[in-house]
Amino acid sequence: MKRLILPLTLLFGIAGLLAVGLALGDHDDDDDDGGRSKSSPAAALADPGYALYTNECGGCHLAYPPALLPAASWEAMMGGLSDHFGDNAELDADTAATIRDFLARNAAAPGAGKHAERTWRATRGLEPPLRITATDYFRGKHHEIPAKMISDNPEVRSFSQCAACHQGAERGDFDDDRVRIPGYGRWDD
Amino acid sequence: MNIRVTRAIALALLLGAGTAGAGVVDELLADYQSAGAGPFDPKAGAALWLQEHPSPEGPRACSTCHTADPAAEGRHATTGKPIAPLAPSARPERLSDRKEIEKWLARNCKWTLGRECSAQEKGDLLAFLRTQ
Repeated sequence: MKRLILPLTLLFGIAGLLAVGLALGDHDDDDDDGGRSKSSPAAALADPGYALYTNECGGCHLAYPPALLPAASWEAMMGGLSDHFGDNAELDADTAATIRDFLARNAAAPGAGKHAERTWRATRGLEPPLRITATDYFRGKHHEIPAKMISDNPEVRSFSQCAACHQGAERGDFDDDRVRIPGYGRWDD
Repeated sequence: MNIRVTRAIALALLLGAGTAGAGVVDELLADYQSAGAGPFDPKAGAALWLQEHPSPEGPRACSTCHTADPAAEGRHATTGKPIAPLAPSARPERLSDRKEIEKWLARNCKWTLGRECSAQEKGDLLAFLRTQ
């Protein structure tokens, strides 16, 4: 087994570098939000743990960009997967450990991009929220949107369905200019 | 062993890990059998698929999310996210990864029945689903 370690490390190392290069290159092409920092979503997409994260967590719901909650929230989430908002989402220990590390590396933090930084600031010193929609940052951004467009809109149903209106949500793209509310179109605030 | 050969074998094992092939269901059924269950009945599995179990949020069955037809696309009861068909006839890669099968049986039996499924129930379900 020992003889395998070096070649395998090299293999994954090269694959990882390629993935980083591709993700960053792709990100630059469609980034037209005026140059504001979005380093955190890009870093999360290029992270070696991202594929496992989207595969496991994205099986049931949008693979929420980890920058939308602080590390303490993700830690609490990963500690309670047997009752995950009423669903059983248990993972085997190895998978859970990889995802936990991925979330910790890419969580909301100062200097990690606009949403990450503001989420971190809004939750600092508080009991870690388990819902992205429970942060003051999220509420401040969405409080003007009427129920008819969200909970009473069969194509949206809840604020948890980020991608219903933010079509680039999974990539961490929450730019106001690209919001399209099903049945209503653009959002002008 | 030649290091290049070793590396090739390791890579093949890694790539092959996700698609273990048609024998996976037979392996699992053999395991359930050695745990004392069996024989397995596709009809019992079909009945279990539709059987409703009470919960505080209303009755739950496999078909709540997967629909009555395993070859149809389902929808997650809470999030509404589409669930690709479970039937191998509609999606050949289904029932080919032991780890995936065990993970989802464990999770979804707990959600649906409020407990883990017995070896007999899991065997019946797999015997049913493989024919779909």
